[in-house]
Amino acid sequence: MKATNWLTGTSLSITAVLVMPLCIVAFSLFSIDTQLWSHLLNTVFAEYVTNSLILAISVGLGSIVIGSYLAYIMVNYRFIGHRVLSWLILLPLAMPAYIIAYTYTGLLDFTGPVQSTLRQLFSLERGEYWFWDVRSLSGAIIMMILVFYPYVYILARTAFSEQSSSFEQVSALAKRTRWQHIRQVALPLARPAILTGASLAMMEALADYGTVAYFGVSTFSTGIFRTWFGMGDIQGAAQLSTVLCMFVLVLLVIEKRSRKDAQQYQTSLNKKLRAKKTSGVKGIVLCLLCLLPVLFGFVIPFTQLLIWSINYADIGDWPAFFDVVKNSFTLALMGAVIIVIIALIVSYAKRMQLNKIRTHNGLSDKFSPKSVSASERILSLGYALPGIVIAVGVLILSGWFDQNINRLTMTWFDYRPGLILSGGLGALLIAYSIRFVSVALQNTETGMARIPNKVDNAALSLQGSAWTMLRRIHIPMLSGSLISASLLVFVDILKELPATLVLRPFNFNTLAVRAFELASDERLIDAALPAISIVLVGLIPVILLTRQLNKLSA
Amino acid sequence: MSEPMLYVSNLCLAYSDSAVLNNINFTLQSGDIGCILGPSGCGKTTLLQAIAGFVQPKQGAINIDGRCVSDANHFISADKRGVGVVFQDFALFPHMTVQQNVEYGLQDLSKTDRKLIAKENIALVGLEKFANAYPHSLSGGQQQRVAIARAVAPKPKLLLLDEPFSSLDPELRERVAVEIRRIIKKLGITALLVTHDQNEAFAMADIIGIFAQGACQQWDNAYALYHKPASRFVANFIGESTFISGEMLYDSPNWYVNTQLGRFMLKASQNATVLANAVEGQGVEVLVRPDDITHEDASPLKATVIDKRFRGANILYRLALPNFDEQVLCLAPSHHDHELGESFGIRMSIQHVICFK
Repeated sequence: MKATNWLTGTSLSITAVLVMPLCIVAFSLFSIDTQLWSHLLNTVFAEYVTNSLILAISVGLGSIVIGSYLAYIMVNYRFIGHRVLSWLILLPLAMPAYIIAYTYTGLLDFTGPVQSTLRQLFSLERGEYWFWDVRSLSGAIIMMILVFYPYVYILARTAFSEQSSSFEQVSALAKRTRWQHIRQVALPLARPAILTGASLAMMEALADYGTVAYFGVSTFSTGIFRTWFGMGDIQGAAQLSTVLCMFVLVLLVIEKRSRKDAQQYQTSLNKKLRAKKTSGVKGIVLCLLCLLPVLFGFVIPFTQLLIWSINYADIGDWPAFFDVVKNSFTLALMGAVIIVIIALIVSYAKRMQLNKIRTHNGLSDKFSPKSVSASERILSLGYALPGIVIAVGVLILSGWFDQNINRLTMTWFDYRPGLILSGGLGALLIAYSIRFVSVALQNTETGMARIPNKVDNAALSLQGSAWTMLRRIHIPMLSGSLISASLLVFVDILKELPATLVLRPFNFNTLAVRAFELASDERLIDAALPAISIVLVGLIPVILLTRQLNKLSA
Repeated sequence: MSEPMLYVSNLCLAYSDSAVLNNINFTLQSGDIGCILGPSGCGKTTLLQAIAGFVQPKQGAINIDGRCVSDANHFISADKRGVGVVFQDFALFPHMTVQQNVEYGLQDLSKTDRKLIAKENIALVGLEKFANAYPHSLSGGQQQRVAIARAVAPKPKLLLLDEPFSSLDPELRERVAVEIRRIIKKLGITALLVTHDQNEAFAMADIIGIFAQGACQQWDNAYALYHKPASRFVANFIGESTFISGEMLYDSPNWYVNTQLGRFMLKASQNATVLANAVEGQGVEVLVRPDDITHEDASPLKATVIDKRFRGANILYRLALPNFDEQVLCLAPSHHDHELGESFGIRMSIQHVICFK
């Protein structure tokens, strides 16, 4: 079948293109500049390592605590406001860390409402009192916990709600108190899920650039940026990126292993837990406990953004704002379409290859069997890569590509096409594809898994071509998955900061870049409109996710 | 004689206002294995949960070993009732080894005692080799034996088993049931199991309660349930049955019933309800079991084969009686092989004649 070969070839080529930037980053280790590294090691390297580790570990622990207690309470108790809370708890997911960071800076700095009120209340003057500086490592940690705890919450909630209700009865018969049951049974059983969520939160913490850059905390991601733009040393930046990737790799291994453990912990016969109805003081306490994280992680910063946006509305430069919106949406839409098409091709190629193996039982012609499966697995790891690392790799690659293309066309046609990749959106789209194709793949893969193989056999027996089958069978059946994949990728691109900041064409602004730049210039009120736009668009996938979760545990 | 270990009186159970079971009464003697048998949704699991102490009854009393654990004034929590429970899904902790699972219920003991008693109980169910294995690496049958070891390790007075065989392959169930019965009998524990499968009930239990329509229909041993069913429901539910019509007849000092298979005397002990206000000439229905009809070539009474099912040693025939208006089942030895439509002679060799109005 020609179509299968074409599909396989295309998938493998796409994978090769998307993996290449990372390989280039890794290869930088072979050309270590001893002078640069002795400088780095003597000065900032230790700080990068310790700050990044403290950040990641604290964010991980904080998310574990908040995410697990929220999940346990939401699964095991029913109390006043439970339904509303099940919607609210995930909202911080829509709040990018760099946006919440700058909002709290505005709230908590010297002229902000909190300190002003305190000064008025206690009639204090500047310098007469101590106040916590949110622009610090501890500030960054708290900001990230506030928006990343839902990673743990989502997985822990599923894990708790899958625990058999008989477990509690076994514990009751064995004379265990509720706390003993939680410590000895409920938590250990949810541990793999909690660890998976925590490693995702830690990956996000390591990948973050906006928050730490805004707070002036030296971590790997700011270090990579500085080495490159400050010292102009792209090899050095690539080498730092490789070190960062090793930390990420550890997290990736923890995540994958935990997912495997979680499968073994699934109980065969899932009797749904009977949640306890709680009223009175206890119910109110539970409600408040669940409300706190979302209050600080979403309600307060969102309200502040809203107030700023309303203030801005009168003085705002609307045409400039709509220009940025147009840029952002066009870019996100282009990215979403390209990435979903890539995911569809890879998933379909994998399916066709497996179909073929199934029929011919191991017969392989051009490509080794399951090669597409392997490339699908590689592509699905992209979410773990920090945007800044991808940016470094893509920039090196596209620079090299543009240089050589120009040299070639110059010798052959006496013509310079200019910077094809690095000058336009090409480099940016490649970077987005590397980071977000995993999101799309997850959707196309689960969608494909829901279509039984019998359907393929039936379709192919009725009318031969793999293309017709894709067009008339799989795409219509996958439409739901394709739409949700496009939506998720669209929102992710809209929120993405570091890669966009580095790879965007000159004078091309997006909402994320604009919000970050304005905030960095201390123009907090001007930054509010692009920021709140990102948050509002980001709410759409969160709402869809909540609906899915509620259905699951209904 | 043995003492009653479990005594349930006038028990009513309800799920948020809708009554599940009404006015339940039964007694389980010490050392016996009882069974609550009934179709799914009849409230039997709720009854078990009430006895264990996980569900509070609306009304009535539960006594375990002479102590009232639940009535209008008392409700003793599950951990103080001295019961062990084997759950339908076994509820083994997947993050603990077999040994740790069995030790979980023994926290009152010292560490060495805990280890020792867990070991003994694991040995009792024949899983010494798997003490350090995790549940997911065991087969369904092995997991169940671990669940039993865990439930009996704290030496409960009463062992409750909730659909203990439903997670096992159907072929295994009866064999496992016999094996579990052996273990429970060896320990001398009183046990009560809940099932919807009568083969399991017969294989395990000394005494069986048939539950349906929110009530206990009959609390008796297997023989009595089959041969002396108290209601038409029980007669239908247990084993295979057909009914033929009959007419009541009084011939002092006994009541008889006339059917087209002959006239049979009604024993007062077995037909109390029918005889209570019997009228001569009254129409009744007589229960006929497949083993009540014997194959006898010489018999003048001929019946025609309508359907047949081969069962190895026997063939179960569905026969039309001479008038073709009534049918009976006949369990004949396998060598009496007749085609559909053929007739052969039958004889009614009924020992317990049971009539229903």
